[in-house]
Amino acid sequence: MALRSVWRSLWRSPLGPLLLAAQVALSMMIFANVAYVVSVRLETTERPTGMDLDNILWIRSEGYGSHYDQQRVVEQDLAYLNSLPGVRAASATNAIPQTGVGQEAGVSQDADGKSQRRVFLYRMTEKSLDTLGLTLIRGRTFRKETVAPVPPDTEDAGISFGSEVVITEELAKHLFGSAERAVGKTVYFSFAAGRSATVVGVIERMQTYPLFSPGASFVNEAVIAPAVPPGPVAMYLVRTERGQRDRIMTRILNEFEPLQRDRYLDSVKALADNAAEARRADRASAVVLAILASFVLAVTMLGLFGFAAFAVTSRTKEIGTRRAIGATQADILRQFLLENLIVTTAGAAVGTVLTLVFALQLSLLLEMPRLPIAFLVGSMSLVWVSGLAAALMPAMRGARVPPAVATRVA
Amino acid sequence: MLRHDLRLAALSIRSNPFVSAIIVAVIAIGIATSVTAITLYHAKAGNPIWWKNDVLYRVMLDSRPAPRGVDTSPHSEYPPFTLIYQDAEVLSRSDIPKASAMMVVSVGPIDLSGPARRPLEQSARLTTRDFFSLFDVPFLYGSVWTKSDDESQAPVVVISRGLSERLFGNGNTVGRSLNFSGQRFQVVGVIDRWQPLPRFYDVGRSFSPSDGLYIPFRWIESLSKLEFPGFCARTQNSVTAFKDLATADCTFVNLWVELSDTAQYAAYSRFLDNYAREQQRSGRFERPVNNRLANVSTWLEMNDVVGSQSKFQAVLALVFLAICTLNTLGLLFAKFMTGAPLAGLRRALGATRGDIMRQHLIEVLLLGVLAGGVGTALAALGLRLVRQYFFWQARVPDPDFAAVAVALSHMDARMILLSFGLSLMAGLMAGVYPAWRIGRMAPATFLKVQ
Repeated sequence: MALRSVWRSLWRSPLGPLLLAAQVALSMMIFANVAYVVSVRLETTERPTGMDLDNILWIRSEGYGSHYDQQRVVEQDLAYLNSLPGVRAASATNAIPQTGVGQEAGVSQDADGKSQRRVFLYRMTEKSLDTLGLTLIRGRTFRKETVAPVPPDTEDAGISFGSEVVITEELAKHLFGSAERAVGKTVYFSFAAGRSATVVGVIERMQTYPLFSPGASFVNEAVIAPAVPPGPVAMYLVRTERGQRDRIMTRILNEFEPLQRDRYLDSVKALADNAAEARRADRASAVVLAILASFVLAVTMLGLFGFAAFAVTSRTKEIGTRRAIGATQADILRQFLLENLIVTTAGAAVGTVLTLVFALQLSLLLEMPRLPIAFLVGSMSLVWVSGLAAALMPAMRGARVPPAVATRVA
Repeated sequence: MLRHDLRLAALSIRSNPFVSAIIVAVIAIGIATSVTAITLYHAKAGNPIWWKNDVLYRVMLDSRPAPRGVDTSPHSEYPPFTLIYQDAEVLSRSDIPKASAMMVVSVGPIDLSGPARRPLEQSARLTTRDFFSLFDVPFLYGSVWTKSDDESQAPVVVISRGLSERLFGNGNTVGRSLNFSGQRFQVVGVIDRWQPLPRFYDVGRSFSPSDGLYIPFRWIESLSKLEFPGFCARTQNSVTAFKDLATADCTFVNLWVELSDTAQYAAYSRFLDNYAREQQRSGRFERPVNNRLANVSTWLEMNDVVGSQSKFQAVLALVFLAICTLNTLGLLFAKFMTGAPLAGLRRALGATRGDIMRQHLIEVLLLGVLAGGVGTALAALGLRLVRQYFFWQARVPDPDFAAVAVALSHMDARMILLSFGLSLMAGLMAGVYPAWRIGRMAPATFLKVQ
């Protein structure tokens, strides 16, 4: 009965309610999808990297001239770096995590190269795990003897490494099902046919770059292989004791270059800076999107508030009459809240369709998995609750209209 | 008449300042968001050499080995974007195109005078002399190197105005020399400010400052290190040393040609097809012929230079503007209804329906202009924040990067016009119906005692 009278009063001037329902539908579409995009993005940028980011610095130097000998330079540089007080461990490396620059490779569990995984390949010297602060969960790290020396200057220089490798748990799961089953297995690389290595250890995680999209799962799949990377660029990762990083960076800036004649020091950077830089755009865009979503919600609540307020104002006399013939305050309150609920429900129904259509487009555009149902349900509930909240104040004002209003002239 | 309407509109706006302010604020926020997003999109979606869009072509050959297993990469139908050295050498010798230029980017140190100063890391574009005519690069001093310099390792260099000023100070620096990667080069030309955005010929760094140095392509044999690694399909390896790149079938050379008419285009296509078939016969190319000649806009599209992020944000902002417009419609309706008795009075005193409607529309337009002003100011603020937080900033501010950041987030006259245009449009879309309704009401409705 109550519902029918509410329906009639809405239908008497359908424009307002229809507009509002459209607005609710669009808001829901935006809100659900934006919330999802933000959550995916934060999931990527805020997930642990597996590394001791704050205490790691990295160095890039570049040799020149015909006398430059990478093997000698790397050995002497590492001896110097590892001897510095305050340094926990230093390694030479071919790639720096969190910078987006690195070497990719295809890895598979059988020689024919089927079921290949795309991975990041780190070719590092023996202290690699300690240098990055990685957590070994199975097996051991590679032995010092397996660190392949700088190869002769051939095409293979870019892909040579020793026969023992450490892989991330994520890669272990994809290739072998679990970390424990991976240890002792052979993995094949899609370089020159037949290149293979034995998995001797599995690390908990190592995020090479905070990239989001289902196609980018490879950023959590890394192989650390023993090698001295070829020159003329030499890069080092250095992990310091807590709080010593900046002091050691300054010291390296002053002392490092003159240690060798035929190279120059290209840069010394804090890994945490690269990590922050890599996340900055995504974090900023998450913030911008969150602001946009809250604008959308605020504007829609404003609309719902205005609608209820206008209804109460323009129907004051009607309310008085109803009160005079026996309607309680609760009846009036229910009347306005029910009106509001009908509008938001209609909006949410259309909004569900819009949300799903938009989500489909979005998953194609941004290469993300489909919208989880929780975001749809969540934003629908949000629309209802915020709609009721917005209408509550005007509805209460309406409920307080005294029956005497009906008897007054004007 | 107009003055009278304006006065009434102003009165009406002031008589209900709270609702009016909310209407202006709602439209303004919608405008600010949209204009910010559109400005950023617009800067990225431009074609900086539109006047040559249909004569410049990027050349691609499918030199990949036959597929192994399922290729899951998003556009496996595209041939590699770069060419194998050996192929590029042959193709660039064709005299069908009006002009053609090979290019790669090498990176190395420039020695600055004085022992205390650290070498300056610079990227140099190794290219052939047609580069400058292909892309309409303006010269400030001097000119490009000669044709014979293209064939040899002539120690000559063309530098950017920015680098010229940084190294030698102001003035004509043709004839000076500089030391790059341990090699002496003589400056033969200085190019004027030239910053196409996006840098379509260098899509890996579409929104970076232009190169500082341009050196004859032949130097690739000695300046070994490339900025971007070439990809060797057989070993799946990325390599930056030229020695390794040239001997294996690695793709890394960019080739652009200028084909000035359809005849040239057809001839060059045939030439490419024949070349690819020849390579198939000799066993070098294992896949079906899949050559591409991409003009500038297709090329930008293939590389998704705009980026899905910008598109997403622009769409979101426009939907938000639609929500704001719907909201304003409701607000205006309520506002006009509150003022209905006055309208009724005016009708009773002789104003026509048209008068009432016009007067309300004027009020809507006035609100639209106000919202446009506020929205433009907010958009300027938004772009400033974007510049501050989104764009790459070195610890030491780099003037070239700063200039690019400004160019990408700059609100020009067109955007300001768009801002007011959108605002008026949103106001009108929201206002026409309420104004029409109020105009149609019978005056008696409002004059009755309620």
